[in-house]
Amino acid sequence: MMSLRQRIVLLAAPHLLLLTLLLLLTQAVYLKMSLHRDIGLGQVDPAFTLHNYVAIFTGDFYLSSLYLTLGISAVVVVAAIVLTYPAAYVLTRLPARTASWVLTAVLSSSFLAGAVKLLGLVILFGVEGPVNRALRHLGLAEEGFRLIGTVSGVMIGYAYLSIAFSLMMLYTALRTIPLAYEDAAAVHGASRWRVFWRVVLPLSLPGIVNTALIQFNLLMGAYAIAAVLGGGRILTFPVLIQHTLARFNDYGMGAALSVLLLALVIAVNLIADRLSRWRHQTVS
Amino acid sequence: MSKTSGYRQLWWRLSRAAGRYIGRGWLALLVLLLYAPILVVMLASLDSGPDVGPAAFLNVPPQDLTLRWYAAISPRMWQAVVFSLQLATMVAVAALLLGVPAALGIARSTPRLYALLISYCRVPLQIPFVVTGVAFLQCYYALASLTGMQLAGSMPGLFIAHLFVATPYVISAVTISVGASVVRLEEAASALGASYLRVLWRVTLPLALPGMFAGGLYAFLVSFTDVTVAVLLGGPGRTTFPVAIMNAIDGELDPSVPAVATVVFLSSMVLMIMLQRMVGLQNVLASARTGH
Repeated sequence: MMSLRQRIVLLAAPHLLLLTLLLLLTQAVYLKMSLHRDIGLGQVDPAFTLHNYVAIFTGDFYLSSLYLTLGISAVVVVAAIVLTYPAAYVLTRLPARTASWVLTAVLSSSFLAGAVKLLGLVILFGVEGPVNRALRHLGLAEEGFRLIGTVSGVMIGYAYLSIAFSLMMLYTALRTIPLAYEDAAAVHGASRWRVFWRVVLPLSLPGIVNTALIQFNLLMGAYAIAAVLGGGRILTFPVLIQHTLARFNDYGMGAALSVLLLALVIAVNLIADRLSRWRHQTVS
Repeated sequence: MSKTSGYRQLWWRLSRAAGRYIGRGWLALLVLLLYAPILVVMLASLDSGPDVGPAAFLNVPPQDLTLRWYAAISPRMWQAVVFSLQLATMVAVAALLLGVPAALGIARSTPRLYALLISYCRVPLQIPFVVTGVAFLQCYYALASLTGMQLAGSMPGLFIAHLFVATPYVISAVTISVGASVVRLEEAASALGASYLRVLWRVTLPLALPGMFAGGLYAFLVSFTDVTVAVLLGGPGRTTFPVAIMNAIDGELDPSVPAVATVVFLSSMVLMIMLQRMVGLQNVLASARTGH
């Protein structure tokens, strides 16, 4: 007869079995597919080859998409952190209830309304939209600002995703710094600037790095924003993957690009995990 | 107390007060900036606009207010909303059925195994959605050529993929809300003679309820808001609401699209507020990593 404890542990079995089955099936199929060469009409050569991977790293086409994605993601992540850090700090000094409602508002705007927000951006920056009318009125840009099909348009879209999540993550990191540390530094005569520079910033540095890495991953895998705002001209890696599959019917290459994206994301995650473990060790 | 330290203190207080107002202003500005596109959609939905032509010609701020677009929402859009609601409900129910027992089971394993199983259950969250979409698509193609079962472009196909990414959130939410204390309470109850079912019904489930609620809503929202997986795995007549919005932006923007977007946004906002009131939202979201 099994104990109550043992019987309850068995409850996890159905999910673990299904998860394992789905992981094995889905991951194995495209990993294998990435090793086959496309022979047109959506068919692949049954022989195994590294052709797809060689093609990614020897031609300009795929590499330039990779560099573009890395570049856009890095720039937006840094900008989002610089913009949200002061706001996250202010949030930690608000009463917990208020802060929690502000965070809910921020997160709902980004995560709930992804598609609605894209629609709003398209209207906001449309040829006859409020932004362009204001720009023309001020005589700043006669031809107007174009959102769709430009790198800056995609970056604005990414920023909208990243700002909300950075705010949440930096808030979580900053909340762990006791207020007493700052008071102690101030009592001993440190200026506000010095308190920030010598106490708050160093203590929150691990949180900043962690936020940056996770945001970077989020943006590298972001599809919808680049697909809509890129207008088919700005080929970020996820958009390129979708095009390779849906437009060129090249399943081998689509799979190889997916493997590469996954490998990059896992590498960044491993660095983030290692850093947070290191932080726990040094703190304790 | 010297005079200089008095000035110093005054200066400290003043700069602190100024900093506080500038800081709060900055926070308010960021929140406003984040909401600007959503407010624009809501405003556009109220503009009487041109009789024909794309929504991009709607006026923001509106010229004359009207609710007529709310009556003119196209049946295709409603179809997408209904399809998304059905799909997300099925995903949430299935994710709860799988995830709640799994979380309760995992919470009872040894600490070492606990950490291992929790990170294993979160593996789907480490994979970018676009890769998940590609992986399921190719897996479905392979299945179709082996067995003739057509899952790509079907509702069951989409359902399985969404379940794969949604269940980890249920597990996170339930394990966070149940915690380690539940085991001791259960053991106490069973030591006092409560039967297995009675322990489950009177101790475990009440403790797990907030987490179940949060996890279920979260699973619903993951499915309801996903674009990436739905684009890759959806098919004709299998268009989810966010994908329909995306298609509308890419093609001619029907002027009633802002209206339907407003309806859906406001109703999901209600869900979000419920979620926030039941459990701290950031606790659940903190477990999220990659996605979208």
